Amino acid sequence: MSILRDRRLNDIIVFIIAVIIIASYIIVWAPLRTFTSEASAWGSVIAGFTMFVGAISAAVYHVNKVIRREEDWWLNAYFVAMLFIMFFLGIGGVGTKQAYNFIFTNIYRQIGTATSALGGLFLISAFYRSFRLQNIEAGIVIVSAVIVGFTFATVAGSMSPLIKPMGIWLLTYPTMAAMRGIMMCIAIGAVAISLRVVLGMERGLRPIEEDVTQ
Amino acid sequence: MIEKISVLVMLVVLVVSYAYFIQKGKGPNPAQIRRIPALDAVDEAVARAVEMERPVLCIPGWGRILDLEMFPESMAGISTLNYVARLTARYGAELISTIRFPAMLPYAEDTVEQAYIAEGKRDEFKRSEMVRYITSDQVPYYTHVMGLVARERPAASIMIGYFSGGVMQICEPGRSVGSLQIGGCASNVAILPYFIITCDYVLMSEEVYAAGAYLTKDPEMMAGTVCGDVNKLIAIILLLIGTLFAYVRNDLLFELLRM
Repeated sequence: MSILRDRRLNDIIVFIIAVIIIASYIIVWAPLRTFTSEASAWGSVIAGFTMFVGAISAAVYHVNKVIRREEDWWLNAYFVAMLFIMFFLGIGGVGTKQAYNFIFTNIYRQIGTATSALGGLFLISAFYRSFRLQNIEAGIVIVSAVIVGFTFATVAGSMSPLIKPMGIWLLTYPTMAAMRGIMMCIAIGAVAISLRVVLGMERGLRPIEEDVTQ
Repeated sequence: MIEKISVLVMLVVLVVSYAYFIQKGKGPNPAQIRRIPALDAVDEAVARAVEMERPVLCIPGWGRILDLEMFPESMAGISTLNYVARLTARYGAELISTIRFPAMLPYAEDTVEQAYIAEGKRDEFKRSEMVRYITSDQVPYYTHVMGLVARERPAASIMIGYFSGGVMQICEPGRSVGSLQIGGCASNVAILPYFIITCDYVLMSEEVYAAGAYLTKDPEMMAGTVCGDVNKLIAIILLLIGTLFAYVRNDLLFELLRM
């Protein structure tokens, strides 16, 4: 067990698989490509199992609240009850599929739509605040947003012949240039952080005995 | 047999520059990163939580960890969570981290546990209380976070990682309860305006990737960030040369990069 719990083993597995996957991108060799697709499938299978870990974690949290009789504990009890009901209906049995679908379509989805609509209220208050002119930068953003907004409105042409060309220019040159610059920086940054993970230098995933601040 | 030679060359440049900056980092003049106010504010946020005796909410994004696009940001989120967990363990603040996709849960749990062990507070680590798996669905997830923020009234909300639609619904309640909010997202640029509207500090694009290195001042992580910058410089030079070549209608560089 000690070998399996040794976190250096994780680093070694990650490094070997990453090198093979990178090599399969650069070198044309069928076994490498086969290994890569197999490794990706294994990754998906392992990730699928984490759903159980998540369900257990959520159940433990809510059961503890019920046991300790914390405030509104009955809501936690309701959650646990629904978790188990949906789990057992979901894994199958005579007539369970219909019951599962009924709960999902007629209860879960409706509650989801209602809460989504309530969430819209938060958007309105945030947008109201964001459209207050606070500084020059905010002013530039608002003017640009209004121009681009009117560019795609049907009344744009009748308001002013300048609006549509200005909006198209804003989207084609300054916006596009900024977006491409950001995307390039992101891509390079992503490669750098991936390299850190592959080489086992990402601090968040590193064993504590290697912690430099200790 | 070998294709994409240009990728191989760039990879070799990246690895060599990484090795160089790791060595340089161990010397008397290690590389430095410019000041990033949003990351400086993390310490202030945790200190505020300690003073107010209210929790710190840390969300390491809701990226699918197996998705190549979201993986680097998710790792940046985990690095930030590691740092925040160490601070909360050290100063005795309550930590709450909400997780949306279950594949992220083992990483987050392990990261927080390691941070508490590193600070000698193993007994204060409460797995299911501190790292809470909510659900993969967007609406129930943000509804839970909205309720959590309203009930627990966190003094600080640190949200760094991959985020998508629904971010406004988790940020706006935090603002309404007076939480000091730090947000950051790299690849999903469309989300940034929401963070800018609702957060006190925002990390943009590659600042997110630098978060772990900046917070920990770890020379090896710092080397990764600096070598990213070196490659960015190479990309800019290639852009300038490419523009020049395109101006004289020469496809040489284009063909070289396609190799």
